[in-house]
Amino acid sequence: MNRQVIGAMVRLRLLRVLRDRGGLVWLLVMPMVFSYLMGNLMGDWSGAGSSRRHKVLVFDRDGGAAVDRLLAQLADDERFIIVSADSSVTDERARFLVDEGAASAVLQVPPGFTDAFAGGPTVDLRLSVDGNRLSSQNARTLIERSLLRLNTERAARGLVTAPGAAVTRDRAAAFDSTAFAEAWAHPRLRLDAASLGRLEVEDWGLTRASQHVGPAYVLFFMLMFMMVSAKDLVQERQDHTLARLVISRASALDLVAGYFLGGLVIGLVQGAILLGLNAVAFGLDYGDSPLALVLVMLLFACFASAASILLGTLARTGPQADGLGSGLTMTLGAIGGLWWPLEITPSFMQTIGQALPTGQAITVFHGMIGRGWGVERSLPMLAGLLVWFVVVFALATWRLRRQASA
Amino acid sequence: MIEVTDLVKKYGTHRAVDGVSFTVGRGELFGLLGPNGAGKTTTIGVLSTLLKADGGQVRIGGHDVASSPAQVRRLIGVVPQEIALYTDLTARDNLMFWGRLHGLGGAALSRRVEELLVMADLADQAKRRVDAYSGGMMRRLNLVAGLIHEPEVLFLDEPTVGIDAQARSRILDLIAQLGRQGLTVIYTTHYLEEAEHLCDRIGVIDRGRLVALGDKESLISQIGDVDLIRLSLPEGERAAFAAECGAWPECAGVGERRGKVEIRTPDGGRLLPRIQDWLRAHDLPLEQLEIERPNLETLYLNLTGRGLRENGS
Ligand SMILES: Nc1ncnc2c1ncn2[C@@H]1O[C@H](COP(=O)(O)OP(=O)(O)O)[C@@H](O)[C@H]1O
Ligand SMILES: [Mg+2]
Repeated sequence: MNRQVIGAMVRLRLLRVLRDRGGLVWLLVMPMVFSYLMGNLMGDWSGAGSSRRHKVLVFDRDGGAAVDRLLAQLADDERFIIVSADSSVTDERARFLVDEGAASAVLQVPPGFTDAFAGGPTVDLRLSVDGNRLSSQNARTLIERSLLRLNTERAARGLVTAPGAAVTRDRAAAFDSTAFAEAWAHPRLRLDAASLGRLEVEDWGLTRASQHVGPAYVLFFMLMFMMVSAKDLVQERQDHTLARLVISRASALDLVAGYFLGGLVIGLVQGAILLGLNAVAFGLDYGDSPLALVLVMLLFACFASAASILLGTLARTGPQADGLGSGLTMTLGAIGGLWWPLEITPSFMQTIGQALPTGQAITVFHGMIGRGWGVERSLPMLAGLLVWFVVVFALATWRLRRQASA
Repeated sequence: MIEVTDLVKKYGTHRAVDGVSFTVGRGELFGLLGPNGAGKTTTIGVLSTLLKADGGQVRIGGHDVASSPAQVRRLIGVVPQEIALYTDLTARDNLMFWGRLHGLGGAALSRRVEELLVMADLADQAKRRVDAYSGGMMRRLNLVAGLIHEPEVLFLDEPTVGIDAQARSRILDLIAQLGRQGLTVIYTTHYLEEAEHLCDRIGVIDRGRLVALGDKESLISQIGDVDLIRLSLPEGERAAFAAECGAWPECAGVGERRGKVEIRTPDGGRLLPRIQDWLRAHDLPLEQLEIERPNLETLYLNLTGRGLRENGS
């Protein structure tokens, strides 16, 4: 391997990309335009739209003071309108109310709620959600947060016996951590949520379209730019600059490395800029694992760069490379869940989608953004990406070495 | 410097180069002359290690092209028939890149690039994109790009194709200058006058075979001191004339070309009276008759022209 030769090839590639104004539009501008338009079009997935508030019907069969405190907490959240009724309701009735659209969710508070808050036996609240209108994950999180507060408060009351009395140094020292741990582990107030809608979106954790659209278009345009630049390699063959390269000091392996690293650098720079712009423009947060983020971007860019070389060695003409490149990108984008989330497709389509590099990469992004995935949870998808990269890179190397040694 | 022995290159069953042998000495300017499709580019391809031969041997500077391509590549520079440049970049960017690909760098590279820009007369245009250049400028840059690493041998494949006469003569001057500097050059062309003007020795190639080889004078003597007589005859009479004429001792060959009868003879003067007699005997007027003294043009036509090849055996 000749480092100088490979470096010169990478440098040339960057120079040519920078000199091409039209190309820069596709590299950076169009992806942001798409992100913005599609993010707005697909809207908000949490139900947090300012114009739309969700009605939550609360059937209170307890009537005690603790229920009032719960409702006050829920009413603090501007996304919900809390309507409480004192009568009881059956599960069937609750389902009917939601189905009829009388409410986005029905919460049933059983008798004994206030009692449980005071230290009595455990009770289960029941939440029924229309999954088409409201992410049940969101409604659930809201109510769980309120219950957590009440549970913690109840536990604390058990520790500090005289409500209102100042906590002295002695009392603080007397805090029984095992008792608190026990109380935490066995909450007396629990929630049992059921989604009634057809849309099973409850566990993916995304609340805004841009959380999907942002990374999806970053991946889509990374792949698109790489695949379409396969025509550069066809051009090198036709113009015989490839012949000049072959008779230079570059070995066939240097050529493979030069093309591959050139594409990789462009892909990574493009990806990093776009992710950054999305974070700034749409307030995206890519989760807590920088390593997972780096790995998924690196593997995806590796795959895209290798695929570009392979396509460039297979296509006979520039227009053919263009057509095949954009066609393949569209297909991989559509089936791999870059245009619409895999999570809303039938399960067999999800299986197919997650077998594709696009599906694997976006699944990791969904995991990182919505569910706090780190490297470990992302590992199956990252491994899938690695396999794609290795296979495509091997094929590309084989084809290019053959063409470079006629 | 270059030894080519029985070179064969096939595309499928088609023998694009079919048993070509020649040698080129150090510092020599060798012309490979032939019509389109003769096998010039294919020959250059094998010599420059881009194509693998199917038979024969090529040695350049003592190195076998097939077994030590890397050593050969250090010696050679290649100027492809196409404009093999990144036309979306400037001339300087192109030359800098090709220099780095040949292991040059730093001040040495910059110096060499400026040298070549001056040689190509592009120094004041070096910051313009190549696709804004005229055909002649592109050709000159294409040429000097093959010189970036100061090769000992230069292969030039039809470097004057598709440009006007003035641009062409500038390129020819440049090549002549390189020849004087001691570079070994193989120059392919289908223009006879270029080969004649530029080259020390010429190989004429047609249909993959080398049909003549030598310097200008020896090539002409190869066809002997042969005159070419062109005679207009009515179509119906041509076959009869050819049959009779072929039997005359002064006639070295007779054929048909572009509606005229063509007769080769060592001595046109002695054949003329016989032709006149024949015309008179057949009651035909002498409409048009030309005698051509031997030159490379007749040789070239003789060797590669379809009409004579078909009949002149
Ligand atoms: N890649 C190829 N595949 C098949 N046939 C080819 C190829 N390249 C050239 N040929 C054929 O080989 C012959 C010689 O071509 P070439 O060397 O390009 O001729 P020239 O350079 O003298 O015009 C021609 O008949 C041409 O059609
Ligand atoms: Mg040619």
